[in-house]
Amino acid sequence: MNDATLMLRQIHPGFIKQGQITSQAFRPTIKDDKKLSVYDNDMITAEKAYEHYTKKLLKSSTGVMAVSVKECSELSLPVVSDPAPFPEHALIDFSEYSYPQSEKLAKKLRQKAVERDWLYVS
Amino acid sequence: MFLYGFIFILTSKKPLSGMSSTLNNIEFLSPRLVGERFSGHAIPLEVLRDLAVLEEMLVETAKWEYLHEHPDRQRIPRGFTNGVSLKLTGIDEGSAIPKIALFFTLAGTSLDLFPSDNAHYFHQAKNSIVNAVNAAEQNRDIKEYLPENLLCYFDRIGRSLRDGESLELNPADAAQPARLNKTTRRKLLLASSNVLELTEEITLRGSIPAADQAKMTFDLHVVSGPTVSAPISLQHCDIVKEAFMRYGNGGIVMLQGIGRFNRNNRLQSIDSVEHISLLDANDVLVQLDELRSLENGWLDGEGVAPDKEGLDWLVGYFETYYSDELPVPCIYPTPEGGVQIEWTLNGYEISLAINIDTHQGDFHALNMSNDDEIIKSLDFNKPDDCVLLNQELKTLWEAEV
Repeated sequence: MNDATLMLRQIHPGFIKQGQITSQAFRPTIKDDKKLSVYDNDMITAEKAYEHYTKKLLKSSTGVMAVSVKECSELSLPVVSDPAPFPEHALIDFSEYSYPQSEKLAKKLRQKAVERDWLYVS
Repeated sequence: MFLYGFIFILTSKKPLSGMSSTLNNIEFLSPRLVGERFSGHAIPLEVLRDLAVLEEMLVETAKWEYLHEHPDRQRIPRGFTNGVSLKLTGIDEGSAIPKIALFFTLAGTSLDLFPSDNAHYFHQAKNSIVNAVNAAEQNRDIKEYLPENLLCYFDRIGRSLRDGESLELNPADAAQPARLNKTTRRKLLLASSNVLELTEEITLRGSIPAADQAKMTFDLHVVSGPTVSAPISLQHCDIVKEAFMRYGNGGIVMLQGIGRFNRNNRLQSIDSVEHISLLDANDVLVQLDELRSLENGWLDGEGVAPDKEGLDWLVGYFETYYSDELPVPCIYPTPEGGVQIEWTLNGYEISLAINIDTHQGDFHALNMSNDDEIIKSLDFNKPDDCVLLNQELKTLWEAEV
Protein backbone atom coordinates (compact mmCIF):
# COMPACT_ATOMS: atom_id res chain seq x y z
CA MET A 1 0.00 0.00 0.00
CA ASN A 2 1.36 3.44 -0.95
CA ASP A 3 -0.02 6.94 -1.61
CA ALA A 4 -1.25 5.95 -5.04
CA THR A 5 -3.05 2.84 -3.86
CA LEU A 6 -6.79 3.01 -4.37
CA MET A 7 -9.15 2.01 -1.61
CA LEU A 8 -12.20 0.35 -3.16
CA ARG A 9 -15.60 1.17 -1.65
CA GLN A 10 -18.74 -0.82 -2.38
CA ILE A 11 -21.80 1.41 -2.91
CA HIS A 12 -25.08 0.07 -1.53
CA PRO A 13 -28.07 0.55 -3.92
CA GLY A 14 -30.00 2.32 -1.15
CA PHE A 15 -27.35 5.03 -1.18
CA ILE A 16 -27.97 6.02 -4.81
CA LYS A 17 -30.82 8.27 -6.04
CA GLN A 18 -31.13 9.58 -9.57
CA GLY A 19 -27.50 8.61 -10.11
CA GLN A 20 -26.38 10.68 -7.12
CA ILE A 21 -24.53 9.01 -4.26
CA THR A 22 -25.16 10.07 -0.68
CA SER A 23 -22.23 11.16 1.45
CA GLN A 24 -23.29 8.38 3.83
CA ALA A 25 -21.62 5.92 1.44
CA PHE A 26 -18.26 7.43 2.41
CA ARG A 27 -18.52 7.55 6.18
CA PRO A 28 -18.81 4.73 8.68
CA THR A 29 -22.13 3.91 10.29
CA ILE A 30 -22.55 3.45 14.04
CA LYS A 31 -21.93 -0.31 13.77
CA ASP A 32 -18.65 0.29 11.94
CA ASP A 33 -16.92 1.60 15.05
CA LYS A 34 -15.97 4.77 13.16
CA LYS A 35 -13.95 2.82 10.58
CA LEU A 36 -14.95 2.64 6.91
CA SER A 37 -14.42 -0.77 5.30
CA VAL A 38 -12.65 -0.82 1.92
CA TYR A 39 -10.71 -3.21 -0.32
CA ASP A 40 -7.01 -2.65 -1.08
CA ASN A 41 -6.75 -2.28 -4.85
CA ASP A 42 -3.09 -3.36 -4.76
CA MET A 43 -4.37 -6.79 -3.75
CA ILE A 44 -7.66 -7.13 -5.61
CA THR A 45 -9.30 -5.61 -8.68
CA ALA A 46 -12.54 -3.67 -8.49
CA GLU A 47 -14.40 -6.44 -10.31
CA LYS A 48 -13.03 -9.18 -8.05
CA ALA A 49 -13.77 -7.06 -4.99
CA TYR A 50 -17.37 -6.70 -6.19
CA GLU A 51 -17.69 -10.45 -6.72
CA HIS A 52 -16.21 -11.17 -3.29
CA TYR A 53 -18.54 -8.68 -1.64
CA THR A 54 -21.72 -9.79 -3.36
CA LYS A 55 -21.11 -13.53 -3.83
CA LYS A 56 -18.98 -14.51 -0.86
CA LEU A 57 -20.06 -11.99 1.76
CA LEU A 58 -23.58 -11.94 0.22
CA LYS A 59 -23.94 -8.19 0.57
CA SER A 60 -25.57 -5.68 -1.81
CA SER A 61 -23.59 -3.39 -4.06
CA THR A 62 -24.33 -1.42 -7.19
CA GLY A 63 -20.67 -1.07 -8.00
CA VAL A 64 -17.26 0.05 -6.84
CA MET A 65 -15.83 3.56 -6.36
CA ALA A 66 -12.44 4.48 -4.97
CA VAL A 67 -10.32 7.05 -3.15
CA SER A 68 -6.55 6.98 -2.96
CA VAL A 69 -4.47 6.67 0.18
CA LYS A 70 -3.04 10.10 -0.58
CA GLU A 71 -6.50 11.67 -0.78
CA CYS A 72 -7.31 10.17 2.61
CA SER A 73 -4.02 11.37 4.08
CA GLU A 74 -4.66 14.90 2.85
CA LEU A 75 -7.85 14.83 4.86
CA SER A 76 -5.98 13.46 7.91
CA LEU A 77 -7.76 10.12 7.57
CA PRO A 78 -5.43 7.20 8.37
CA VAL A 79 -5.71 4.11 6.15
CA VAL A 80 -4.69 0.80 7.67
CA SER A 81 -4.65 -2.74 6.47
CA ASP A 82 -7.05 -5.00 8.39
CA PRO A 83 -6.64 -8.55 7.08
CA ALA A 84 -8.67 -10.18 9.87
CA PRO A 85 -11.91 -10.59 7.92
CA PHE A 86 -10.10 -11.31 4.62
CA PRO A 87 -6.60 -10.43 3.30
CA GLU A 88 -7.60 -7.52 1.04
CA HIS A 89 -9.58 -5.75 3.75
CA ALA A 90 -8.54 -2.25 4.89
CA LEU A 91 -10.01 0.53 7.01
CA ILE A 92 -10.26 4.30 6.66
CA ASP A 93 -10.18 5.53 10.23
CA PHE A 94 -12.69 8.23 11.26
CA SER A 95 -12.10 7.67 15.01
CA GLU A 96 -10.87 11.19 15.64
CA TYR A 97 -13.93 12.88 14.23
CA SER A 98 -17.41 13.71 15.48
CA TYR A 99 -20.58 13.85 13.32
CA PRO A 100 -20.27 17.18 11.53
CA GLN A 101 -16.55 16.61 10.96
CA SER A 102 -17.07 13.12 9.55
CA GLU A 103 -19.87 14.44 7.31
CA LYS A 104 -17.46 17.03 5.89
CA LEU A 105 -14.81 14.37 5.30
CA ALA A 106 -17.36 12.06 3.67
CA LYS A 107 -18.36 14.82 1.25
CA LYS A 108 -14.71 15.40 0.37
CA LEU A 109 -14.10 11.68 -0.20
CA ARG A 110 -17.26 11.42 -2.31
CA GLN A 111 -16.08 14.33 -4.45
CA LYS A 112 -12.77 12.55 -5.15
CA ALA A 113 -14.49 9.24 -5.87
CA VAL A 114 -17.08 10.79 -8.20
CA GLU A 115 -14.35 12.65 -10.10
CA ARG A 116 -12.62 9.28 -10.57
CA ASP A 117 -15.95 7.73 -11.63
CA TRP A 118 -17.08 4.14 -11.11
CA LEU A 119 -14.29 1.57 -11.32
CA TYR A 120 -16.80 -1.22 -11.69
CA VAL A 121 -20.57 -1.28 -12.14
CA SER A 122 -22.59 -4.48 -12.05
CA MET B 1 -59.33 23.34 17.98
CA PHE B 2 -61.81 24.77 15.49
CA LEU B 3 -65.48 23.96 15.36
CA TYR B 4 -68.33 24.33 12.97
CA GLY B 5 -71.94 24.30 14.07
CA PHE B 6 -74.85 23.05 12.02
CA ILE B 7 -78.56 23.12 12.58
CA PHE B 8 -80.81 20.54 11.05
CA ILE B 9 -84.38 21.79 11.03
CA LEU B 10 -87.35 19.57 10.44
CA THR B 11 -89.68 21.32 7.99
CA SER B 12 -93.02 19.97 7.03
CA LYS B 13 -95.69 21.02 4.59
CA LYS B 14 -98.84 20.41 6.56
CA PRO B 15 -101.95 19.84 4.44
CA LEU B 16 -104.70 22.35 5.21
CA SER B 17 -107.26 20.88 2.84
CA GLY B 18 -106.88 18.59 -0.13
CA MET B 19 -103.40 19.03 -1.63
CA SER B 20 -102.60 22.50 -0.22
CA SER B 21 -99.94 22.77 2.43
CA THR B 22 -97.90 25.14 4.63
CA LEU B 23 -94.25 24.93 5.57
CA ASN B 24 -93.20 24.05 9.12
CA ASN B 25 -89.65 23.94 10.43
CA ILE B 26 -88.56 21.85 13.36
CA GLU B 27 -85.03 22.02 14.68
CA PHE B 28 -83.70 18.58 14.13
CA LEU B 29 -79.97 18.04 14.57
CA SER B 30 -77.00 20.28 15.32
CA PRO B 31 -73.79 18.47 14.55
CA ARG B 32 -70.44 20.20 14.41
CA LEU B 33 -67.18 19.63 12.63
CA VAL B 34 -63.99 19.62 14.68
CA GLY B 35 -60.54 20.02 13.18
CA GLU B 36 -57.92 22.39 11.87
CA ARG B 37 -59.31 22.26 8.31
CA PHE B 38 -62.56 23.88 9.43
CA SER B 39 -60.90 26.98 10.81
CA GLY B 40 -61.30 29.18 7.75
CA HIS B 41 -65.01 30.04 8.09
CA ALA B 42 -65.70 27.67 5.24
CA ILE B 43 -66.60 24.02 4.94
CA PRO B 44 -64.85 21.98 2.26
CA LEU B 45 -67.35 20.84 -0.36
CA GLU B 46 -66.20 17.26 0.04
CA VAL B 47 -67.47 17.34 3.63
CA LEU B 48 -70.84 18.60 2.47
CA ARG B 49 -70.95 15.57 0.19
CA ASP B 50 -70.70 13.37 3.28
CA LEU B 51 -73.55 15.26 4.92
CA ALA B 52 -75.71 14.78 1.84
CA VAL B 53 -75.55 11.03 2.38
CA LEU B 54 -76.89 11.58 5.90
CA GLU B 55 -80.21 12.46 4.32
CA GLU B 56 -80.36 9.09 2.57
CA MET B 57 -79.45 7.32 5.77
CA LEU B 58 -82.01 9.21 7.86
CA VAL B 59 -84.80 8.37 5.43
CA GLU B 60 -83.91 4.69 5.34
CA THR B 61 -83.46 4.55 9.10
CA ALA B 62 -86.83 6.24 9.63
CA LYS B 63 -88.45 3.61 7.41
CA TRP B 64 -86.73 0.90 9.44
CA GLU B 65 -87.97 2.53 12.66
CA TYR B 66 -91.52 2.54 11.33
CA LEU B 67 -91.47 -1.13 10.36
CA HIS B 68 -89.78 -1.96 13.65
CA GLU B 69 -92.65 -0.29 15.49
CA HIS B 70 -95.27 -1.90 13.27
CA PRO B 71 -94.18 -5.52 12.87
CA ASP B 72 -97.60 -6.32 11.38
CA ARG B 73 -96.94 -3.99 8.43
CA GLN B 74 -95.24 -5.32 5.32
CA ARG B 75 -94.36 -1.94 3.91
CA ILE B 76 -94.25 1.68 4.93
CA PRO B 77 -97.24 3.93 4.19
CA ARG B 78 -97.41 5.70 0.83
CA GLY B 79 -95.99 9.20 1.02
CA PHE B 80 -93.91 8.44 4.07
CA THR B 81 -90.74 9.85 2.49
CA ASN B 82 -92.17 12.08 -0.22
CA GLY B 83 -90.51 15.44 -0.30
CA VAL B 84 -88.11 14.64 2.48
CA SER B 85 -84.81 16.39 2.16
CA LEU B 86 -82.08 17.98 4.17
CA LYS B 87 -81.02 21.39 3.02
CA LEU B 88 -78.07 23.58 3.73
CA THR B 89 -79.39 27.10 4.14
CA GLY B 90 -76.48 29.30 5.10
CA ILE B 91 -73.90 30.27 7.65
CA ASP B 92 -74.80 32.04 10.85
CA GLU B 93 -73.17 35.43 10.97
CA GLY B 94 -71.76 37.27 13.91
CA SER B 95 -70.27 34.24 15.53
CA ALA B 96 -66.67 33.33 16.10
CA ILE B 97 -67.81 29.82 15.32
CA PRO B 98 -69.62 29.96 12.00
CA LYS B 99 -72.89 28.15 11.94
CA ILE B 100 -74.43 26.52 8.95
CA ALA B 101 -78.08 25.72 8.98
CA LEU B 102 -79.34 22.63 7.28
CA PHE B 103 -83.05 22.34 6.64
CA PHE B 104 -84.81 19.06 6.72
CA THR B 105 -87.96 19.50 4.63
CA LEU B 106 -90.88 17.17 4.64
CA ALA B 107 -93.78 17.50 2.21
CA GLY B 108 -96.25 14.85 3.18
CA THR B 109 -99.24 14.18 0.98
CA SER B 110 -100.43 10.97 2.44
CA LEU B 111 -103.86 11.04 4.01
CA ASP B 112 -102.92 8.05 6.13
CA LEU B 113 -99.83 9.45 7.73
CA PHE B 114 -99.43 13.18 8.19
CA PRO B 115 -95.96 14.71 8.17
CA SER B 116 -96.14 15.49 11.88
CA ASP B 117 -96.51 11.77 12.50
CA ASN B 118 -93.60 11.03 10.20
CA ALA B 119 -91.43 13.36 12.20
CA HIS B 120 -91.58 10.94 15.11
CA TYR B 121 -89.79 8.27 13.08
CA PHE B 122 -87.19 10.68 11.80
CA HIS B 123 -86.41 11.71 15.37
CA GLN B 124 -86.11 8.06 16.31
CA ALA B 125 -83.83 7.53 13.32
CA LYS B 126 -81.63 10.39 14.44
CA ASN B 127 -81.39 8.95 17.94
CA SER B 128 -80.52 5.49 16.62
CA ILE B 129 -77.72 6.90 14.49
CA VAL B 130 -76.39 8.99 17.38
CA ASN B 131 -76.56 6.00 19.72
CA ALA B 132 -74.77 3.76 17.21
CA VAL B 133 -71.91 6.23 16.85
CA ASN B 134 -71.67 6.56 20.62
CA ALA B 135 -71.61 2.77 20.91
CA ALA B 136 -68.74 2.65 18.40
CA GLU B 137 -66.76 5.16 20.42
CA GLN B 138 -67.42 3.32 23.67
CA ASN B 139 -66.80 -0.14 22.20
CA ARG B 140 -70.38 -1.24 22.90
CA ASP B 141 -72.63 -3.30 20.64
CA ILE B 142 -73.40 -1.11 17.65
CA LYS B 143 -76.06 -3.45 16.26
CA GLU B 144 -78.20 -2.81 19.33
CA TYR B 145 -79.09 0.49 17.66
CA LEU B 146 -78.88 -0.05 13.91
CA PRO B 147 -79.26 -3.07 11.63
CA GLU B 148 -76.31 -4.22 9.55
CA ASN B 149 -77.66 -2.99 6.23
CA LEU B 150 -77.99 0.58 7.49
CA LEU B 151 -74.44 0.61 8.84
CA CYS B 152 -73.27 0.42 5.22
CA TYR B 153 -74.15 4.12 4.89
CA PHE B 154 -71.10 4.99 6.94
CA ASP B 155 -69.03 3.99 3.93
CA ARG B 156 -69.95 7.38 2.50
CA ILE B 157 -70.66 9.37 5.67
CA GLY B 158 -67.47 10.63 7.26
CA ARG B 159 -65.28 9.37 4.41
CA SER B 160 -63.81 12.82 3.86
CA LEU B 161 -62.74 13.18 7.50
CA ARG B 162 -58.98 13.18 7.95
CA ASP B 163 -56.79 12.24 10.88
CA GLY B 164 -57.62 14.43 13.86
CA GLU B 165 -60.99 15.52 12.47
CA SER B 166 -64.43 14.51 13.67
CA LEU B 167 -68.10 15.15 13.08
CA GLU B 168 -69.98 15.33 16.38
CA LEU B 169 -73.58 14.44 15.74
CA ASN B 170 -74.73 15.41 19.24
CA PRO B 171 -72.26 18.00 20.57
CA ALA B 172 -74.74 19.22 23.19
CA ASP B 173 -73.98 16.09 25.19
CA ALA B 174 -70.34 16.56 26.17
CA ALA B 175 -70.11 13.06 27.61
CA GLN B 176 -71.55 11.35 24.52
CA PRO B 177 -71.19 13.67 21.52
CA ALA B 178 -71.48 10.81 19.01
CA ARG B 179 -68.07 11.51 17.55
CA LEU B 180 -67.69 10.21 14.01
CA ASN B 181 -64.03 10.05 13.04
CA LYS B 182 -61.80 7.67 11.11
CA THR B 183 -61.72 5.19 13.98
CA THR B 184 -65.43 5.13 14.84
CA ARG B 185 -66.41 5.11 11.17
CA ARG B 186 -64.30 2.01 10.62
CA LYS B 187 -65.83 0.31 13.68
CA LEU B 188 -69.34 1.12 12.46
CA LEU B 189 -68.62 -0.38 9.06
CA LEU B 190 -66.84 -3.48 10.33
CA ALA B 191 -69.74 -4.14 12.71
CA SER B 192 -71.75 -5.08 9.63
CA SER B 193 -71.01 -8.47 8.13
CA ASN B 194 -72.51 -7.06 4.91
CA VAL B 195 -69.48 -4.83 4.56
CA LEU B 196 -66.78 -6.80 2.74
CA GLU B 197 -64.99 -3.72 1.44
CA LEU B 198 -64.62 -0.15 2.63
CA THR B 199 -63.91 2.98 0.66
CA GLU B 200 -61.52 5.73 1.70
CA GLU B 201 -60.23 8.92 0.17
CA ILE B 202 -56.77 8.26 -1.20
CA THR B 203 -53.78 10.15 -2.47
CA LEU B 204 -51.38 7.79 -4.24
CA ARG B 205 -48.28 8.10 -6.33
CA GLY B 206 -47.35 5.49 -8.87
CA SER B 207 -46.72 4.50 -12.47
CA ILE B 208 -49.09 3.17 -15.13
CA PRO B 209 -47.88 -0.13 -16.66
CA ALA B 210 -51.16 -0.91 -18.45
CA ALA B 211 -54.20 0.87 -19.83
CA ASP B 212 -57.25 -0.54 -21.61
CA GLN B 213 -58.95 1.96 -23.90
CA ALA B 214 -61.83 -0.39 -24.63
CA LYS B 215 -62.70 -0.89 -20.99
CA MET B 216 -61.52 2.63 -20.09
CA THR B 217 -59.43 1.36 -17.17
CA PHE B 218 -55.78 1.56 -16.23
CA ASP B 219 -53.49 -0.14 -13.75
CA LEU B 220 -51.71 1.98 -11.18
CA HIS B 221 -48.54 0.48 -9.75
CA VAL B 222 -48.38 2.30 -6.43
CA VAL B 223 -44.87 3.30 -5.33
CA SER B 224 -43.93 0.78 -2.63
CA GLY B 225 -47.41 -0.71 -2.90
CA PRO B 226 -49.73 -2.95 -4.94
CA THR B 227 -50.92 -2.65 -8.53
CA VAL B 228 -54.63 -1.82 -8.69
CA SER B 229 -57.16 -1.05 -11.38
CA ALA B 230 -58.78 2.36 -11.82
CA PRO B 231 -61.34 3.85 -14.21
CA ILE B 232 -60.26 6.35 -16.88
CA SER B 233 -62.40 9.47 -17.05
CA LEU B 234 -62.42 11.33 -20.35
CA GLN B 235 -60.87 14.40 -18.76
CA HIS B 236 -57.93 12.33 -17.50
CA CYS B 237 -57.35 10.34 -20.68
CA ASP B 238 -54.39 12.36 -21.97
CA ILE B 239 -52.49 12.23 -18.68
CA VAL B 240 -53.09 8.50 -18.32
CA LYS B 241 -51.82 7.93 -21.89
CA GLU B 242 -48.73 10.04 -21.33
CA ALA B 243 -47.89 8.30 -18.06
CA PHE B 244 -48.44 4.94 -19.74
CA MET B 245 -46.08 5.87 -22.60
CA ARG B 246 -43.48 7.01 -20.08
CA TYR B 247 -43.74 3.89 -17.93
CA GLY B 248 -40.28 3.00 -16.64
CA ASN B 249 -39.04 6.35 -17.86
CA GLY B 250 -40.20 8.69 -15.14
CA GLY B 251 -43.94 8.52 -15.83
CA ILE B 252 -45.04 8.91 -12.24
CA VAL B 253 -48.50 10.30 -11.45
CA MET B 254 -50.17 11.57 -8.32
CA LEU B 255 -53.76 10.40 -8.07
CA GLN B 256 -56.49 11.58 -5.72
CA GLY B 257 -59.76 9.72 -5.53
CA ILE B 258 -61.67 7.00 -3.73
CA GLY B 259 -59.96 3.69 -3.00
CA ARG B 260 -61.62 0.40 -2.15
CA PHE B 261 -60.04 -1.58 0.71
CA ASN B 262 -60.78 -5.03 2.10
CA ARG B 263 -61.54 -5.57 5.79
CA ASN B 264 -57.80 -5.99 6.42
CA ASN B 265 -57.23 -2.48 5.08
CA ARG B 266 -55.49 -3.62 1.90
CA LEU B 267 -56.15 -1.56 -1.21
CA GLN B 268 -58.13 -3.61 -3.76
CA SER B 269 -59.02 -1.11 -6.46
CA ILE B 270 -59.72 2.52 -7.19
CA ASP B 271 -63.40 3.42 -7.48
CA SER B 272 -63.00 6.89 -8.86
CA VAL B 273 -60.32 9.36 -9.80
CA GLU B 274 -60.90 13.00 -8.96
CA HIS B 275 -57.49 14.40 -9.85
CA ILE B 276 -54.47 12.98 -11.60
CA SER B 277 -51.26 14.76 -12.57
CA LEU B 278 -47.79 13.87 -13.82
CA LEU B 279 -44.96 14.30 -11.35
CA ASP B 280 -41.26 14.82 -11.81
CA ALA B 281 -39.47 11.49 -11.65
CA ASN B 282 -37.51 12.71 -8.64
CA ASP B 283 -40.49 14.33 -6.92
CA VAL B 284 -39.87 14.58 -3.20
CA LEU B 285 -43.08 12.79 -2.30
CA VAL B 286 -42.29 9.94 -4.69
CA GLN B 287 -38.86 9.57 -3.14
CA LEU B 288 -40.39 9.47 0.34
CA ASP B 289 -42.94 6.88 -0.82
CA GLU B 290 -40.07 4.71 -2.04
CA LEU B 291 -38.66 4.63 1.49
CA ARG B 292 -41.90 3.04 2.71
CA SER B 293 -40.95 -0.26 1.13
CA LEU B 294 -37.79 -0.60 3.23
CA GLU B 295 -37.79 -3.27 5.89
CA ASN B 296 -35.60 -3.68 8.93
CA GLY B 297 -32.25 -5.04 7.81
CA TRP B 298 -32.36 -3.18 4.45
CA LEU B 299 -28.61 -2.42 4.74
CA ASP B 300 -27.22 -5.95 4.46
CA GLY B 301 -28.88 -7.08 7.65
CA GLU B 302 -28.37 -3.76 9.41
CA GLY B 303 -30.50 -0.67 8.84
CA VAL B 304 -33.72 0.26 10.59
CA ALA B 305 -36.75 0.84 8.34
CA PRO B 306 -38.08 4.41 8.54
CA ASP B 307 -41.22 4.67 10.64
CA LYS B 308 -44.38 5.13 8.50
CA GLU B 309 -45.77 7.87 10.75
CA GLY B 310 -42.44 9.64 10.60
CA LEU B 311 -42.54 9.54 6.81
CA ASP B 312 -46.11 10.87 6.87
CA TRP B 313 -44.86 13.76 8.97
CA LEU B 314 -42.04 14.46 6.53
CA VAL B 315 -44.48 14.37 3.58
CA GLY B 316 -46.61 16.92 5.46
CA TYR B 317 -43.54 19.04 6.13
CA PHE B 318 -42.59 19.18 2.44
CA GLU B 319 -46.17 19.85 1.34
CA THR B 320 -46.56 22.68 3.85
CA TYR B 321 -43.19 24.34 4.06
CA TYR B 322 -40.78 23.44 1.30
CA SER B 323 -40.60 26.14 -1.34
CA ASP B 324 -41.44 25.07 -4.89
CA GLU B 325 -38.79 27.51 -6.10
CA LEU B 326 -36.00 25.50 -4.51
CA PRO B 327 -34.44 22.55 -6.33
CA VAL B 328 -35.64 19.02 -5.68
CA PRO B 329 -33.23 17.24 -3.32
CA CYS B 330 -32.22 13.59 -3.23
CA ILE B 331 -33.61 11.67 -0.28
CA TYR B 332 -31.89 8.64 1.24
CA PRO B 333 -32.60 6.39 4.20
CA THR B 334 -30.13 6.36 7.08
CA PRO B 335 -29.09 3.14 8.84
CA GLU B 336 -30.63 4.48 12.07
CA GLY B 337 -34.16 4.71 10.61
CA GLY B 338 -33.94 8.38 9.72
CA VAL B 339 -33.74 10.23 6.43
CA GLN B 340 -30.87 12.16 4.87
CA ILE B 341 -31.78 14.86 2.37
CA GLU B 342 -29.07 16.24 0.10
CA TRP B 343 -28.70 19.17 -2.29
CA THR B 344 -25.88 20.27 -4.56
CA LEU B 345 -26.32 24.02 -4.75
CA ASN B 346 -24.02 26.63 -6.16
CA GLY B 347 -20.81 24.88 -5.16
CA TYR B 348 -22.16 23.73 -1.81
CA GLU B 349 -22.77 20.14 -0.82
CA ILE B 350 -25.66 20.30 1.63
CA SER B 351 -27.08 17.56 3.79
CA LEU B 352 -29.88 17.44 6.33
CA ALA B 353 -30.02 14.36 8.53
CA ILE B 354 -33.49 14.13 10.06
CA ASN B 355 -34.70 12.05 12.96
CA ILE B 356 -38.27 11.52 11.72
CA ASP B 357 -39.43 10.37 15.14
CA THR B 358 -38.34 13.48 17.06
CA HIS B 359 -38.48 15.85 14.06
CA GLN B 360 -34.96 17.12 14.77
CA GLY B 361 -32.42 17.69 12.03
CA ASP B 362 -28.68 18.30 11.59
CA PHE B 363 -28.01 20.73 8.75
CA HIS B 364 -24.56 20.71 7.19
CA ALA B 365 -23.44 22.77 4.20
CA LEU B 366 -19.91 22.56 2.86
CA ASN B 367 -18.43 24.93 0.33
CA MET B 368 -16.41 22.52 -1.78
CA SER B 369 -14.04 25.26 -2.94
CA ASN B 370 -12.94 26.82 0.32
CA ASP B 371 -14.23 24.31 2.92
CA ASP B 372 -16.45 26.90 4.63
CA GLU B 373 -19.09 25.12 6.65
CA ILE B 374 -22.54 25.98 7.96
CA ILE B 375 -23.68 23.68 10.74
CA LYS B 376 -27.09 24.03 12.39
CA SER B 377 -29.43 21.96 14.51
CA LEU B 378 -33.04 22.37 13.42
CA ASP B 379 -36.11 21.55 15.48
CA PHE B 380 -38.99 21.06 13.06
CA ASN B 381 -41.46 21.12 15.93
CA LYS B 382 -40.86 24.87 15.89
CA PRO B 383 -42.47 26.76 12.97
CA ASP B 384 -39.50 29.17 12.84
CA ASP B 385 -37.10 26.31 12.16
CA CYS B 386 -39.43 24.91 9.48
CA VAL B 387 -39.13 28.19 7.60
CA LEU B 388 -35.43 28.48 8.38
CA LEU B 389 -34.53 25.58 6.11
CA ASN B 390 -35.99 27.41 3.10
CA GLN B 391 -34.10 30.56 4.07
CA GLU B 392 -30.78 28.76 4.45
CA LEU B 393 -31.15 27.01 1.11
CA LYS B 394 -32.23 30.20 -0.65
CA THR B 395 -29.24 32.07 0.77
CA LEU B 396 -26.83 29.39 -0.40
CA TRP B 397 -28.51 29.19 -3.79
CA GLU B 398 -28.10 32.90 -4.34
CA ALA B 399 -24.62 33.10 -2.80
CA GLU B 400 -21.70 34.14 -4.95
CA VAL B 401 -19.07 31.43 -4.90
